[in-house]
Amino acid sequence: MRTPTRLFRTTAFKLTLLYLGVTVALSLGLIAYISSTTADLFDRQLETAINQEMAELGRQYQNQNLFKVMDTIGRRSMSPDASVYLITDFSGNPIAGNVSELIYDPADVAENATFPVRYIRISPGEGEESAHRALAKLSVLGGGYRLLVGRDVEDRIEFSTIIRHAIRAAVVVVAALALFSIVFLSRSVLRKVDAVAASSRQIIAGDLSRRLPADASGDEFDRLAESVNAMLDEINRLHSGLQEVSQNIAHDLKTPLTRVRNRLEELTRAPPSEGALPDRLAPALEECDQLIATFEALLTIARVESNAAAVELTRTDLSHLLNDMAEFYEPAAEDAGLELRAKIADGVAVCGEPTLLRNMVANLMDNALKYGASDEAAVVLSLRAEGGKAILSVRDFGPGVEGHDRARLTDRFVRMDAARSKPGAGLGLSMVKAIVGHHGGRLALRDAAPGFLAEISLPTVS
Amino acid sequence: MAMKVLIVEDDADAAAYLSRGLTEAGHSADVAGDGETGGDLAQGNDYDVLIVDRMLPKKDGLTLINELRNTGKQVPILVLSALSQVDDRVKGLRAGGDDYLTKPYAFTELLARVEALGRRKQTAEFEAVYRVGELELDRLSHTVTRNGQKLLLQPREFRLLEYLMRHAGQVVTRTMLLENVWDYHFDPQTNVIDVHISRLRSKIDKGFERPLLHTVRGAGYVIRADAD
Repeated sequence: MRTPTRLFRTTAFKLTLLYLGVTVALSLGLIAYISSTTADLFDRQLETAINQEMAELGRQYQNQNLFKVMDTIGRRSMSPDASVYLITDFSGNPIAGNVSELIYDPADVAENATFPVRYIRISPGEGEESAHRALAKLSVLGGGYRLLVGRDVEDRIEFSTIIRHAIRAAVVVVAALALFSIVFLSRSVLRKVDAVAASSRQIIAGDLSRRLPADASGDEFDRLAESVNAMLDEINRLHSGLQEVSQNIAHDLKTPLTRVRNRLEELTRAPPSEGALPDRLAPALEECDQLIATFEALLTIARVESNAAAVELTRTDLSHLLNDMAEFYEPAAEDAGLELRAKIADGVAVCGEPTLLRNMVANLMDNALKYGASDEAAVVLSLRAEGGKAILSVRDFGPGVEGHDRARLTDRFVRMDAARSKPGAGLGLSMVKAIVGHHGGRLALRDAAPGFLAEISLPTVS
Repeated sequence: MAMKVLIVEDDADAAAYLSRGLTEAGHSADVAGDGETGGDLAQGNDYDVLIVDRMLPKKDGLTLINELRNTGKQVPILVLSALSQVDDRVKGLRAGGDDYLTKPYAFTELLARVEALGRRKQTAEFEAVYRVGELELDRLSHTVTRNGQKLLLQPREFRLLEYLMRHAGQVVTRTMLLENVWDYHFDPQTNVIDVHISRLRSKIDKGFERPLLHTVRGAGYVIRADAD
């Protein structure tokens, strides 16, 4: 029941119908134009022929006499496609001609113009014939004689009848074909649309791994499906990122929250003396601050990863930014017993957001200061330009991270055993990775043997 | 120095908490629960500082600030927001706020910022020389002396000291230093600021009987001459 109405509503149906209408109208117009001009031409030719013959006969009558004219008519009538001739005397009695009967409406008769007549030819031997149609012209010869000359138009009428039949047949065939193609086209379009709709419904229902069907035919549906699928891939990526974050939050924020709650509950159960209260509360407050920092970091990572931050990337002098950061961190490095060696090439610029870039460097530096203690007692912050890339690296000479663990470092809340004793939430390198990704760069974590090397390459700008 | 503060905040609990804290710190505070009331109060009174939450009923915080600025109100404004630093801070400052603090915040941080803002009215963006006790900082010649003895500071140390001295007697938090001296808007996980301060301290206080640069536990730093 539903399919026919759906068919009618498809774009393919409407387009085909429109196309059909336009084609038919155009063809009919063209045929009408051609047939009307042909008819005109035909009429003119016919009239010219009649006029010529009439003039000739008129001349013969003037120059010689009626018998000469009758003779000519008689001779000409022998030919099978002879004109129609009739001469009448002053009282209207036929005196010569090649018709046995001539019927016309006197109202049609006009001077110097053709008018339709019907006639029956005197045919030698053939017996009775049916009335033929002709166009005729009448002229007065003088002496009361009238001359009628006409040309048979039966062929022409038959010809136009054939044309009319042909057009009618053609219209029927075209309409049938059109109907067939409409149904076929609409159905195949409907099938594709139905497939897309079915996939979409599954995706809406939550199956984000579903993709729209693409049959590699390269048609417009295929191209559309490809774009939509690419969009779905991106949505899926963002969605799983979001899911990961919410799982992380569930797992890793509940633990410190529980600690805070326990501390507070303990205080209500066994309130300390007033003087001791601030000291008892201090750890809970610290825990809260750490939680807030973790939240902030998670939100920043999520926002940077989702590209949702309306972060404007501008040309940023990375050399300048790093020199500043080196100066900023130098005292802290010294305090940690490490020498900060800055090897920063001049004039390296990238397209970026300075606060995020600083955040990125700060995370790497914080890590290096926290975990980089070694005999070498140094941290190297370096920047160089290399083949259109800015290569920024932070290297320490500490124990580094085992190969199989390195891959996990950029996951959220991942902390190596060595880090458990130090403050931090395990978000630093996730943040770095997100920021690097946002800037279209790459992050590589390597074993510097000895030490840990974080290397970032970002596209430079001039 | 007591200040008159207007708190425009729709969360009654948070507003009461702020009001209490400010009163304990020796200031007085009025509270407005929505943007319109806040606007009326700010127009009708002479406050030293406004604390304006970004999301308010009837009229949002940024619109309120915009309107106040358009009518020529110069009162310093601290914008509070639950929205995060990265993209929101700039908007808050562009609208005419003077400082920006994200929720949740530590009250010490808020108090330090409010006092720094309030002070701005009276002092000395334009003073050429800052003095704290026998310590003198000349902003034009970029020299620092204590007891007439010249102290050699790195450019950044100079700016750090300049900021501390501009707010002499007031607690200045690490975040404030990070934002105002370095223009950095991230949270370093290491004690970078403390180390900078201790370097500065070793230059200005070492060898002198009375220390000027003090650490305020759980809050930040303060530079002051009196010994209390």
